[in-house]
Amino acid sequence: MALPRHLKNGLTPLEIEFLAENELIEIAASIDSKQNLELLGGTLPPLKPLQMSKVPLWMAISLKKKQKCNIVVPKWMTIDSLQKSLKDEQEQEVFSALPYHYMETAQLLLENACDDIPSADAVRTLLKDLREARQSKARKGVEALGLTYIQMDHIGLMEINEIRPFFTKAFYELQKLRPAGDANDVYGAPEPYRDGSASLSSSMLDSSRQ
Amino acid sequence: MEDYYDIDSILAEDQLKAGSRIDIPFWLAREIVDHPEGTVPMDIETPEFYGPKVRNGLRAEATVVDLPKLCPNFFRFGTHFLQLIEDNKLAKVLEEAFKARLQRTMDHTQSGGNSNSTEYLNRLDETERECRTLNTSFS
Amino acid sequence: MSDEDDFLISAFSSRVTASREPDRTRTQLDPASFVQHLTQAWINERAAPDLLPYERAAVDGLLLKIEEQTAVIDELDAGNDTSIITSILYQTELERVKFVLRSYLRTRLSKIERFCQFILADPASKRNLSKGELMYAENYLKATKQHFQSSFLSSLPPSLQGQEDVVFDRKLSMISQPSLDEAVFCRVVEDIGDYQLDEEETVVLEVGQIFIFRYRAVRVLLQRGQIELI
Repeated sequence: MALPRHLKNGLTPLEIEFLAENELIEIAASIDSKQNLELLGGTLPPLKPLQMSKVPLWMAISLKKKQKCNIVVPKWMTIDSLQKSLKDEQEQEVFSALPYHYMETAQLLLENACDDIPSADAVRTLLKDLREARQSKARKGVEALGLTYIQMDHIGLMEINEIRPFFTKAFYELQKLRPAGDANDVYGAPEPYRDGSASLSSSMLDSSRQ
Repeated sequence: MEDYYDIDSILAEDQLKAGSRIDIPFWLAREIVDHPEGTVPMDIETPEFYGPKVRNGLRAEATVVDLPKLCPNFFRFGTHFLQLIEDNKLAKVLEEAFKARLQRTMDHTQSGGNSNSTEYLNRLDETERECRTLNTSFS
Repeated sequence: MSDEDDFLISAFSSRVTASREPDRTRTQLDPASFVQHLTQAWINERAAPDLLPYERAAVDGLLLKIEEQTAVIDELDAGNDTSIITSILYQTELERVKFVLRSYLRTRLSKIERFCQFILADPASKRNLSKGELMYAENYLKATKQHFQSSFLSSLPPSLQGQEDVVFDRKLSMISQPSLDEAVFCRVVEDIGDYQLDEEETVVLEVGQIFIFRYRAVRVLLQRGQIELI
């Protein structure tokens, strides 16, 4: 088996974190890289001491761990902004407009750059409240099941992954209960494959045993 | 060689008269309906567990109906049955019931295992049970 | 990184350089977007029930860039602090890119194994294989068939030895095939406007929206690159 079974339904939390690390974030570096950073994914201008640079989150964390930069907390993750998001979350039916990777990014920053986050504890609490409000919203999505689609704008990737097994299964089962209009079957019944050498010769069997 | 699915010979062996009612396995009914060579004059009756009484019960309060008692694969069999006969009303009833119960299942998974919830969860059919086990995020 | 992984990549790179077929991808990819492109291709591949077209341009391009970057890193290793930091950053990224590449190829291999016979028999699916994958699929099918035959099928009555029987001429077949009716999460990446989901239902698709759809209903949008799976 080329891919373990548990990897087959969606992405793992670690993979989602990996993807979040590709997002750009602002840092104040304390080193001088002297030259452009020629990465496979693109070129970044030189890092200069005390100058703001936008870099991928994985790089920010790597530099932070070596105490070579400070990370600037993204605007949406400040107390004011989170309070507003929480209010929106409680007042409106749709998800508030948080970044796609908000949960993973927040988690990574709280873990690796806590000293760069003003009132980190309050941020943590707000994030927890937000998460709960959004979870119950995601749960309400069940009401929308059974249509030909469900719309969930501004839901985060980590949140998608949490509801994915249940929602895809429920959606699939409901589709099957609809009277079949499956004239547009792309595949139809599969044909056996003939490669012209399918018959078994004893010599092939012998060689495979060696 | 005799055709395995030759309904005439099956009927001949059973000496059925027109108007007789017999129970046959679902797969055989499907074969007969789909048989490429002509039609066998036969009506398929809707099983009792999809009958008016159950439908009314599901319409009134879907979450109290004890599905395993009726048919352990209530919904799964429903999808097969609906491919065989056209019954949009039944499809609608099943769809609505499935949705209503799904929501309830979520709530129950959330609230944890009190006796009330155990009682409800025992009323789930196989498909609903599968869904429930996938509801990891909310448990 | 395990030895097996190294093998996977080097095996693929030698196969790729050996192939000189014309590229089927429609638009020329910007080399700077290879990483991003392949990352999304990896996620699409994970989420889609069927095997998607092989991203030859991005894979080939990245393998080449990985080689170049490895050489750059080797050159860097001087005694000064700046070079060391740069070297660490380059290496970190290199490992990340290799991870995506490996995971992409593995995801495909797992689908190829699972739907092997179907993919080889279905011309549209077969076209989605790379040369290396095609070889792999053919050998895999041959090996499993032989194995089943010699390990137990040969002792069954001939009528029960089939490995490709189709039951009742329905979709119920011994040959596994992807289920296009599965539900997928997707994000709209360009404004599409009115889109017909089925005979009855139309939806307005705008960039940034997130939906759950039946895969069959939006497969063509994925092929055109108008949505991405998530």
